[in-house]
Amino acid sequence: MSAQQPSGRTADRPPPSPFAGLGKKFDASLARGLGHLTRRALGPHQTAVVRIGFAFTWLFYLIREFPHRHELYGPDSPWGFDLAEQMISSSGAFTVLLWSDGRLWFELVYLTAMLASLGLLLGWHTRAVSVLFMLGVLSLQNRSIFMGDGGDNVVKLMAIYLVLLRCGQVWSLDARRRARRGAGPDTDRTGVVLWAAAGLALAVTTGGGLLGGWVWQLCLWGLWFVFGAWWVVERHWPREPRLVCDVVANLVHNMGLLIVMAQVCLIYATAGWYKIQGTRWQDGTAVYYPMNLDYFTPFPELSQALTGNGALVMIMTYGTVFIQVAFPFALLNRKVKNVLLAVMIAEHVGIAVLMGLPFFSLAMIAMDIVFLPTAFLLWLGYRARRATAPLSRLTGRRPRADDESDGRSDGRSDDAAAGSPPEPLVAAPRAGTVTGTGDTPAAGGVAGRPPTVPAPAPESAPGADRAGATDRPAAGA
Amino acid sequence: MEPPEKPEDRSGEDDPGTGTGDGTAAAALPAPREAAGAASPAHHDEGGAAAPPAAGDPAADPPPAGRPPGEGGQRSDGGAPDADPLTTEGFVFARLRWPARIVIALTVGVATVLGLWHIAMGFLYVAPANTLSKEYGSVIRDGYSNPEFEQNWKLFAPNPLQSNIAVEARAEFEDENGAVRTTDWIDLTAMDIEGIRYNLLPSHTAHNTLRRAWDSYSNTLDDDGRPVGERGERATVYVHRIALLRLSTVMDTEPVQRLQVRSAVTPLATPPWDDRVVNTETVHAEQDWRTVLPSDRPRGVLAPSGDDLPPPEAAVAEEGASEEGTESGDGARVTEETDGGAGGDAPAAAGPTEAAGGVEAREGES
Repeated sequence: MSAQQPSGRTADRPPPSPFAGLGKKFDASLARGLGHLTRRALGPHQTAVVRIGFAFTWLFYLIREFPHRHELYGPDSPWGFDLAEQMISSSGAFTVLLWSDGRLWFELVYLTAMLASLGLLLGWHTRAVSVLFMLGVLSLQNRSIFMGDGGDNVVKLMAIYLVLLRCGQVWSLDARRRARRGAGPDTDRTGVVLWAAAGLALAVTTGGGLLGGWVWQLCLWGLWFVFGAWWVVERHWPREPRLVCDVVANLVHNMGLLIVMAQVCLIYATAGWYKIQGTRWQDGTAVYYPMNLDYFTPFPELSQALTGNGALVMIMTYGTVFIQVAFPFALLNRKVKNVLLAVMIAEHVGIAVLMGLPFFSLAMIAMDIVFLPTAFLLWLGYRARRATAPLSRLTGRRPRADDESDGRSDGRSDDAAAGSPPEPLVAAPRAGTVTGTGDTPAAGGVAGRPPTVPAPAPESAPGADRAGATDRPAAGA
Repeated sequence: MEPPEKPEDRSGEDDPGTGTGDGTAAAALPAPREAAGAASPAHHDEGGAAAPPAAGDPAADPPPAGRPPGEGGQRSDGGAPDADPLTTEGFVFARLRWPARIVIALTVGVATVLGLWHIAMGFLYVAPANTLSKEYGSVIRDGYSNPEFEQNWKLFAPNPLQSNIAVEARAEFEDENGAVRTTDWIDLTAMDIEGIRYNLLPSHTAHNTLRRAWDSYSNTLDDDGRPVGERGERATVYVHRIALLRLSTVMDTEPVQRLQVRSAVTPLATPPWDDRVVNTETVHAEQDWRTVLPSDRPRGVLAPSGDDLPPPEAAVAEEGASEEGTESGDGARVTEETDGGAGGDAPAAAGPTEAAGGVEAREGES
């Protein structure tokens, strides 16, 4: 009996426990994770493109509304100074526009908000300007909260999160400056001047009791202090204190990035799950209604044509719910994520035109692109650089080899990585993928350097490794 | 959190090396990655101080972007490996001095807690009312999220709006003879729609101002249709100011003394393939007359500029029709609208002000 039944059993070893060594594995991955999170600010290209996206959205919006700025946010707005004051006194929202009801002050704030957007777009003193950008967004939106829609809401949240991010690592004037400067920190006179001016402004407004509650005072003074300390540490304690600052900045950045990604998931999940509860979304007619409402039909003929077919409306209705609900889960799989992302972006482009919500859509797209694969972003960056090359030549910029390295925070390490022996090992599977686009090989050739794509691939955010580098650009495109 | 971190971090220290591969090869190529990882840590640990990432082991070369400006520059310029292990990419936690270790460990802890706290608050803020959010509502909403992290993502959910909601206004004024007269209803929403139609970039003033003002106003109405509380008062003032501002683009609002607004809700017909039947008749809900205060009048940059604006008389429909409209039910009001339209040249979309021929140009501008 004992010979029969466990015949297999005695001979075979017991199956290995799936829990064996779990503790060790856990420790190792925790350590690996902490290694990533402390040593680098993840997703440099993703955060850069999010920065550019939101700065562009807000700048474009402010330019578009320039003729209407008084009606929206000015002291003479129907949402009058008195009403705003009442409202803010109970909500405690931050806005500098209630410091004075003067015309001039308003114009100054609006102009500053525009300049801050431009600065952030270009990545000029990114860390400082991102604070200014946030204050601009909050000041205008909180001044007239009933003027905004979902798009404004996204811009507002992201403007706050951007302050946490090292979003100027690439594709910024800061990166260019760093690359040109070479070794060691420079004096950064502009930075010093900005810092001094900010300190003065903070002192005056705190003294005048304008600076809101203690939370805002703590945040703004804290940021000011950190910027100052950073400057000092960088120049006078280049060793350990400098390193610690860098690690802290990385940690804050990485947490900020996680918050941004979680926020995107939250938005789509909320939008999707609440829709499921609606009877019109259930019976497959929901899309029909907004597309026939006066307020959301800039092109009524187009909308009517699209909503004329019941099956099509049903597909659009169910499809919207599917992708919104599925989005957070799709992040678990890179390919599915990329497909959904492409569909999502396409849908937002459609919404922009068909429903007349261009700024809402722009904000949503700017938010989506945090999940774009690095390889796609690099390819896009390369195309953009090549497209603007004639322009750069016109303005007397040095040729592209230089610009290439500007694209990243550090040209040298690219070279090293690109020329390194183990690199093919790492890049091999990617090279195949990349070739699929048909463009990247040319990229290497034209630039007279190895293809741009493989080298920086390692930067891809592991925390966000679904936004990672192995993505097929084609899927993202 | 602190004590376990040190040894762990030590083991994680070979990571920047493997890490480079990690992002790239990711799940696709685990094997080579292990290999690379196995090779590089050796370097890393013996070399320790020899700045392995710089030139020695390119596999361990860190990704460029994460690195702060200073380090990269130094190493690139030096060319030769400098003896400084203190790069953000390659530092060894356990070899830092204790203040540095404490600061880093604390930051890890604080950032994790705050970040997760923020995400949890965001989740509970947007989630439907539930056990936790009912219990800790004050913390979630007023304690943390409001006002700056306020958010609402019920986009067209649970059900999309299925009616056109138009806001109309009429003004009471004293004419030269001292008689009190009332203008016809003027469709303010039609002005919005005019700004949206065939426009790729509609302004927030057309898309949001009136729509959202009316939305917040109607949210403050009680069962009798009267605004309640401080919020109701603010919303009332706001809506009437918008109405007056809009009227001031089509008529001279100087003589206007009182203002009345109403909503005109027209349910959309169901799609042709849907067998539900919906009554698409327009339903009006009139609000109380409100006296115009000096602070309600458009001023500053928004003050009406033209002297060429028609007097409010131009917008008066036939007195009789107007009276009839106010007194009778919905059907009669529809008649009244028809009357207004008949009096003018264009249908309701442009408002009844075109009763005076000269007004049309003005309308076009607005």
